[in-house]
Amino acid sequence: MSQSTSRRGRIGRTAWSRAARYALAGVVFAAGSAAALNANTQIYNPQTRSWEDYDPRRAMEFFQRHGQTPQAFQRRVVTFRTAEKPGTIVIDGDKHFLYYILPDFQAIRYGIGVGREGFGWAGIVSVGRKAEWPVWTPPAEMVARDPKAAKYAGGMPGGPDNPLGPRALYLYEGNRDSIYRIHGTTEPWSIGLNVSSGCIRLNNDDIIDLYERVQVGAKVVVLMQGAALYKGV
Amino acid sequence: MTTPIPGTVAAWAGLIGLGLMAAGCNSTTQQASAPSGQAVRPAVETAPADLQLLCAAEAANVYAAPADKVLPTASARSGSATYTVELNVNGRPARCTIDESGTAITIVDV
Repeated sequence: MSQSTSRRGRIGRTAWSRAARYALAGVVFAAGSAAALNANTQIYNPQTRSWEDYDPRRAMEFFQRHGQTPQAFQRRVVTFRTAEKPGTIVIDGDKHFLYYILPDFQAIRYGIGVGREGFGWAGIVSVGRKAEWPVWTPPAEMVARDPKAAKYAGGMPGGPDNPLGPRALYLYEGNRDSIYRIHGTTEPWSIGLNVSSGCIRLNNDDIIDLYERVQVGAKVVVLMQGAALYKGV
Repeated sequence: MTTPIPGTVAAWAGLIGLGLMAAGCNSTTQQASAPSGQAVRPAVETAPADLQLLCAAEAANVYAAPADKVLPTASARSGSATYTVELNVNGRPARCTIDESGTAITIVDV
């Protein structure tokens, strides 16, 4: 294991222990909205002419049948009226979209998966660093309950089975690692769902596309209805 | 406190909105009719992200707050062409009403 890889592993463990401290200390706080909702996705069923929950089972079935996610979650250029600078990332956790701001009121829109109930968050952070084929270090609680994760307690090297996928953008608050990342996935069917522990996941083709565009230091705005606010906002 | 929107952001947003309408552009609002088997939507309708951020930009002006300390925390449709956006302005709650063209109508203390 190279020195840099080892360093990334330590950063991961430190980050997760920091996460536990944050949770215990209540560093994040509730948004205080009565609408403390973790918005799920619905999909239209033409047979029943009704909107139905797009849950993991239905998402897997859809992906198996079509070989891709619903069209809305596929990468495209859209109109986006904003004063934010080109290069900024805006994440709409409720609609499961990530926008990469372009000039002339346009943006590239990607489908994403976000944090499950209790793991969603909102805030303003920045891209602190980027990594190709990042090391994944499972949190201590996962190591304790899952023997498969335990063998990677020291860090799972980058590769096709790594849950972070081929690229990762590390989100920082100032000079401090927020513990959250924007990364790829080994579960492409999960785009559009609330499934993660707070990270934002994209399909692997999309994270590679985004990675090539994003500069370290880029502003990242995370919107999520009723979610905990990351400290600093 | 009800604060009319005198600032440049409101005028700017209005101009953008008019420009987009003139160009025949739609907002990023999801499918409104004739959904297909590919159509998806959030279970709870929120304001489009760009409108939420326009509200945040306007609130930063009104409250003289740093832009990185203003964050939309919740939103909902409040009329046929308007949304209400709840804001955290440097720890202080505020509410913005914005129309679909991107014009912030009011910002009030909560």
